[in-house]
Amino acid sequence: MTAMRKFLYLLETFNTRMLAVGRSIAWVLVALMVGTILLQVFCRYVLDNALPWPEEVARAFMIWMMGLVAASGYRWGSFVAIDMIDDYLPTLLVRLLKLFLLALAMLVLAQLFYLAIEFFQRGFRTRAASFHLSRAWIYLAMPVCFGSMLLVNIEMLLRQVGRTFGNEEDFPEPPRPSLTVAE
Amino acid sequence: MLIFFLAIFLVLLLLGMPVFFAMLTGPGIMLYVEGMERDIPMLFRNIYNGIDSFPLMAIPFFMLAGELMNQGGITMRLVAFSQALIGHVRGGLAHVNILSSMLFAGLSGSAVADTSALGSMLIPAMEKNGYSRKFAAAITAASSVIGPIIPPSGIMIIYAYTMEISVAALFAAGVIPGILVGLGLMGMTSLMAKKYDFPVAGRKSTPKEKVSATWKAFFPLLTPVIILGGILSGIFTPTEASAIAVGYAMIISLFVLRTVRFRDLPNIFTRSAISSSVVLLLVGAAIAFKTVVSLSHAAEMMASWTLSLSDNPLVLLFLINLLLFLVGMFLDAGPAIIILGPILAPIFITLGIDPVHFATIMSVNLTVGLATPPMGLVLFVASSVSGEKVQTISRAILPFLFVEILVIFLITFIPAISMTIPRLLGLA
Repeated sequence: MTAMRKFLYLLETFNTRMLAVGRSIAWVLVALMVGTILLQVFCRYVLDNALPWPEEVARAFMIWMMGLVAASGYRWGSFVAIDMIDDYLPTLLVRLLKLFLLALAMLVLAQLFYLAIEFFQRGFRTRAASFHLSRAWIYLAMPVCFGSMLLVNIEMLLRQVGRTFGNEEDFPEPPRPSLTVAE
Repeated sequence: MLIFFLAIFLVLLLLGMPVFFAMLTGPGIMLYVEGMERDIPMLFRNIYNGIDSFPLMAIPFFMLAGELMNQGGITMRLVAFSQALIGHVRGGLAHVNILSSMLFAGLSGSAVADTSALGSMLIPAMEKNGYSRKFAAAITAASSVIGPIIPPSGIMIIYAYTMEISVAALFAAGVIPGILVGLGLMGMTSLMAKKYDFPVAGRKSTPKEKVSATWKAFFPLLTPVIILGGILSGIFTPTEASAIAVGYAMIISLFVLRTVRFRDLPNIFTRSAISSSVVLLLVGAAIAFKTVVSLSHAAEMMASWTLSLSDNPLVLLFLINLLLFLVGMFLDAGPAIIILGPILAPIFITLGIDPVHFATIMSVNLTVGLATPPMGLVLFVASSVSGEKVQTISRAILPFLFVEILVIFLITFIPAISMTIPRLLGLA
């Protein structure tokens, strides 16, 4: 259990940094998405000269934005689930059930990550329609998305193993980043 | 056999698996079992294709515009405007709460944002004015469901995209039902105000005070005019309108009202990036799920089973409303729409129900589900904002839920309520 706790700590630290990097790029991508679409509106309606690339570029920004922050959402419970059954089952059964669901989610994420890598590699065969870039660089957001979610899932699974078979207080939640606006 | 993916999906969902994973696990397992592994990469491609969409970009943009408006002290101006208009009648603050929700709905498409923004301001004010805390929390939660009904609406964008119908038509269809819910809640409040002798919020505003409150709320109130005017007149696409809403909200909150600073922007942008990434993945999973629904002929089987109950569309609409209401009690509106839309909509379209009419019924019904116990999301938000127990709010909200259920049935059986505006605009 001690070795697992040490490994979990390392993984948590790595994930915390990885997710912080993802978030600090993602907000810039949101700003770029807004800027790109406003430029499109300005060129189309004011200059009467529609640009060919803003729509595709903004979509690429959106996919990367999602890829970079989906794991943050997953780690801090933004993925919707019905957790009503917890109130009706004994604590140990609830813990085992959570373990089973996390293991199943890990298999799904591993499969998605594998498919995303294949998808990325196939992307080198095609280019974006409106700008000179291989589509692989847009598709790369998918392995980043599912890879980071997989790492977070492994962290959550290990934490749940520790809580189920060890002392719950030894496996606290990692601190949540403050995203509120300072008064 | 492939149809068993629905059973696996439902079991996993009830066991507490996040909707995103359950939507992929059920179909994934059954494709393996049926020896159709070659279709699994197609599921993945459909997730990507589902996300890689220009119309869907309106979701992060509307979320961001709502965040900026909320942060920018705009809520306070809308409440002051409502207070100047109707604060002096009996039950004034309760009416102000409902009217503010209706105005807020034109800026944001989220019931949760409405409850937290208006609740944190109005619940303490109502308590101070002599209302019970449970009533203040209940009216805040009940009126917040107007948020996703009056456009813009995140739920309607998701429905329109997954079911391939016009966002503009759906937005237009939501206007009258949203106003009807608001007026219904005001009617119930008036009845209760007489019975329980609710307080008045203050003296009648002078014309000068009314003009001042209107001027302060002028820029925020212009937002729905720009968004809806642009979309419904066909000038902008919904995505362009949502980006314009963000640009407008930034100008107002950074330069006109100066309630947001540049250094606040990274956190505001990050919050909306995280919320929208979850929605985008969910929509991607829904498109993959929809493929397996069609491969397994699940919709056709459900249709023949449903038609065996009755072939009268009105009876079936009644039954479907009961089903949606039950689902809404346990599941959020967005995921519920994503799961049930592809299965239920084709049945009713075959029976001659207009796709926009059915979409409105589903959206309104599942949105009301956000305020129904035991799992109504806005009840939990109202509870955390007010400090009142969820069970207590759940009892206090019942008269308002009665009104909302009545509106759902009016929308269901009088199609003109939702279809008049889309038809007048040539959208349906």
